[in-house]
Amino acid sequence: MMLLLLTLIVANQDAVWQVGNDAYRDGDFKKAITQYEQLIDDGVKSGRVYYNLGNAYFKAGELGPALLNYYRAEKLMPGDDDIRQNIEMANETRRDPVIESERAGLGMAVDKFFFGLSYQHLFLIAFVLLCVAGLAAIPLSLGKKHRVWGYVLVIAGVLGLALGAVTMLQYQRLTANDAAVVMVNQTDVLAGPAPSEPVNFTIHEGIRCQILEQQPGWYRIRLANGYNGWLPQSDVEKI
Amino acid sequence: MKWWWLGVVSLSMAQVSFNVGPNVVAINEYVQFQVIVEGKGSELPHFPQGFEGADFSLARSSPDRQSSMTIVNGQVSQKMVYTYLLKPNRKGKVQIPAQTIRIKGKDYKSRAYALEVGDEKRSVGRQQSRRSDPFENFFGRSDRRRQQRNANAEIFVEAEVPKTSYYLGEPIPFSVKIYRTPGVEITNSGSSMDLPKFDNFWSEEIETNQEIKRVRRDDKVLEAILVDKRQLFASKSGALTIPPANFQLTVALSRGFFADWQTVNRSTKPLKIDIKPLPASGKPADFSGAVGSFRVVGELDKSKIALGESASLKVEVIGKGNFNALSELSLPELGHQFEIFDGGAPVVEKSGGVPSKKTWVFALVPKREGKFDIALPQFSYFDLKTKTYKKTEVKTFPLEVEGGEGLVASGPVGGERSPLMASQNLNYIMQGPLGPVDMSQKLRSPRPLFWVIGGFLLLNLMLFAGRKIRGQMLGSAAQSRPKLALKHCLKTLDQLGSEQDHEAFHAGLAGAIFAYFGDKWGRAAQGISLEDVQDFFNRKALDKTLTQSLVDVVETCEQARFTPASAGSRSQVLDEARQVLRRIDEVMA
Repeated sequence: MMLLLLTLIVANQDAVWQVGNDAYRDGDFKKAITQYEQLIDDGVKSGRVYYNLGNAYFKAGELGPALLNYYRAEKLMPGDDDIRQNIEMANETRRDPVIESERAGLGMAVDKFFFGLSYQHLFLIAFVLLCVAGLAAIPLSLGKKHRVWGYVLVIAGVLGLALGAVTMLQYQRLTANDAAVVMVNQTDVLAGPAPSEPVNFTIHEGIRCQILEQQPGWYRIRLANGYNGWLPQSDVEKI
Repeated sequence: MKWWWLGVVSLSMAQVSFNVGPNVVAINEYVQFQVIVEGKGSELPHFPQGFEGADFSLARSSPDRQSSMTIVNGQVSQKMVYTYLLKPNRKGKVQIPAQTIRIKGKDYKSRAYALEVGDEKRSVGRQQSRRSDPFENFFGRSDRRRQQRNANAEIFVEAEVPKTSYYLGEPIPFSVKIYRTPGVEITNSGSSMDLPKFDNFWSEEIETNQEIKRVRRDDKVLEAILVDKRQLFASKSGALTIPPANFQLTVALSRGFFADWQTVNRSTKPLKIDIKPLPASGKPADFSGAVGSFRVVGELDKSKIALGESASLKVEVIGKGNFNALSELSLPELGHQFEIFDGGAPVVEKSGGVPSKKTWVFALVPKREGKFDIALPQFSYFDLKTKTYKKTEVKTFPLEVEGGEGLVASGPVGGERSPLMASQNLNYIMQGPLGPVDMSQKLRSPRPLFWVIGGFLLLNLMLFAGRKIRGQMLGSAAQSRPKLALKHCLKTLDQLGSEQDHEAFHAGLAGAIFAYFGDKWGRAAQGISLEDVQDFFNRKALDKTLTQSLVDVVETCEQARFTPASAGSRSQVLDEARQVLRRIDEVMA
């Protein structure tokens, strides 16, 4: 009985998914959004749904929700090329310029090389390489100075450590819950958590920020370039 | 007949008295309520409970002030007269109730005053002249016609709005005029105009030159002087009132040195206006409050430019209405293809003192080459003629941008891409079956990687350390081997004492001797021969008898292995060997 019920639920979710995709194909992006949102409301946690929802929002001209859903899709499907490319595309249409450190720096440079791999794969490869390096070190530790063991130790060790670092970065990014996207057309980032505080700078829809701390109704955020300040919680949504 | 009430009500440090008059007044005239304070110093009085009197209202909240000072026998006394103007609200027999005035924290109370308020007064009554024209009777000019004209002379003021009902945001033309009989003179000296506070309205003054027009009112020819003209914009809907404007005019019926100037008070009637809210139905999302009729025109100075050059776009909004609602005009659609620099605040042109055109100028610097349609901005407004919301028409100008030298020099003008381009390049949605409905992975912590690194590091350290310790131990044994050589050897000889086998005894003895030298030299005993020992003794120039004794012992052992011997000779050989080895060890030490 439970199995039958489960089968019916899955079939219904698949139908909603297809209706959403059909609506998107027909250019009815509002309907597509409704369908994808329904799946999410039903508890579906699929990177594919978030990705399609991001596309539908983007086509409907809502940049903030589009980027929010792309980022959510990326959390569930790290390393997916389509998601990454659409995030880049959407970011280039936002009003705030793309901050260099958003895509530069060690993290993103490493990403370019290794983000093609999923976290699980990265973890496994790093684990194996480190094991190989460790085993290769044993004969050397025992005084058997054979050149092959030296090469194996250096190559496997360096690669294993590099992949281990990438794995750490990915893990931090995938488990972090402190990123948010600006959802309003424009918002002032203030010097403190009160409307009377002076304006530090102004940001616009779609820009991603890191939440540093919170007060009732306010978040203290930081941009990729280090600018920080306070804005109303209602102006952003956590990824 | 006019007369003034006067009463002293209190005497203390400051003597305060009240003076009210005139007691007969027209509905469009004022009553003066004077507070006279005598004494040293004074402070502006005020009504702690507000002015009490339903039949009158304060025309101005702050009083006029007059001061005088007298010095008698060195005693200085000061007198301040504060005059409040009261505007009657109704005609008939009315009363100014007793008022409480507070000065320097002390309350003073006036008595009640009864007055009579008559009909609106327009005529300029001829007062008893303080200065009569001495030539008037001389030249006999006091003719009947002139007397008649003076008797009919009028002056009054009116505030006007063309309609009684307006939409919220609709401009309300407001004007105040003084109507006078031709010949009535008004002088600026002593005349004042007190316009109302336009609460609930946004007011924009329109410059006027106090133009005078002849008009016909009630079959009379009058001169209308436009003294104030402005546009009002209601800030809320509902029944709103524009309060009266109050005038104090110094007038005379003739001009000249001997003109009989007198002061008259006049006020306008309050104007009630119905402000209708804008219809909710059909209100566009981009509606910003513009009401009237507008159109947008523009001009692009070039149709073809190269990268690095700029084009100038002029945008003009022409029409009638509340131009204030059009404070900002932007070109968001062009922002992705062009860097936009606005030319500052828009220029407002007026027609008849009223804004009729607002002009913005933008400089457009292209970010990339291509053919573009530069669209003028559109906005929605409420059209008063059709009573519907309308949007300004679309108008575009073609602009071709060619690649130029500026392409390289300008570099990355911006990383932006137009939504259209981005939309075209957007990767398509994922299709096919929905797939797993819960992709939220429980990520394995990367901690095991550290365990692997740490584990192997520890293992290898342990192996390395073990190897080192073993080496040290072996080295230590090798170092102590020469020192313990005699001890080991003598121990072996002691053990040989109980050896029953003849051959094994002698072989063991010879072996023990060579083992001694092996230990001494840090070598294996097997490779050491008697010749090696002799060579060593010769090189070290040791005692030759000692060498010979050792050779004898070894050769005795070699010979005795194959010839039977008694137990006594065995012990003798052992003793000789012990003695020789002890002596050698002493020498070698």
